Amino acid sequence: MSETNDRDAIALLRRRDPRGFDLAYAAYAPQLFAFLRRLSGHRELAEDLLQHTFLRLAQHGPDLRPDSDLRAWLYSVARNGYWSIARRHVPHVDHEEILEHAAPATELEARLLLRDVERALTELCAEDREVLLLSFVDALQPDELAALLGLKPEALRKRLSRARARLFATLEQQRRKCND
Amino acid sequence: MTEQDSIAADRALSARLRTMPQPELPPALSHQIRAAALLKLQPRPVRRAWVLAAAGTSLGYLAAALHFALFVL
Repeated sequence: MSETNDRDAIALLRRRDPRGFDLAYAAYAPQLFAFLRRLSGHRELAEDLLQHTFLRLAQHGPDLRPDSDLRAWLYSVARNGYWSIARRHVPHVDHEEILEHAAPATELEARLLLRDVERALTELCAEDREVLLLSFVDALQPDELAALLGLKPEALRKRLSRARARLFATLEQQRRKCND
Repeated sequence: MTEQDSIAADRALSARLRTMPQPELPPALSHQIRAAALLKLQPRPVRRAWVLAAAGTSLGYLAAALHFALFVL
């Protein structure tokens, strides 16, 4: 969603106009759901967290500042919701459930690669998975991402590089297992 | 693995991550969220009533204090 649309959505939300909610939901719900689904590894948990996020938007939307960054605000609520649960107990990641929903690809090789990456992601720790998803899948800009995670740019760069290295290592391990 | 291979692999992985598909959002969930959100978006008259009650109580207390100071003391 463009910045103008974000502003329109916020302006409508500030007037408690449901069209503002609809604009924000249409623009961000699918990508937030995908993020939460991959981060948590559970469909039901992702659904609960998505609901929690958008109900918070309905509750606090009228109080948002007109220049608020809606996407950053929503991601912040969503990941805080996830971490408040994950800190109490680490949700078990259901590998098969995630792989079941990996989109079909036209070529077998592409599908296998995609499944490999999806599987490798589920085997990473949640911190690594989160930073990779936000950076590559959700395409957050480095400054947005640093602010969201509460990290300095250098620390973000290190975390991202470490996460990528771990993903590579996991993929390599999978490949070796398959070859054995 | 040479440095060039490593860079190429890194790029390929980044591209793969970027093109990961989005799982489908269940329409029933969206309806449920929208219905709950619309309820929350409705203005709450109860809140205004509480503000009026608090203001009325404060004014009443001040009036009583003023009356006590002017006419009783």
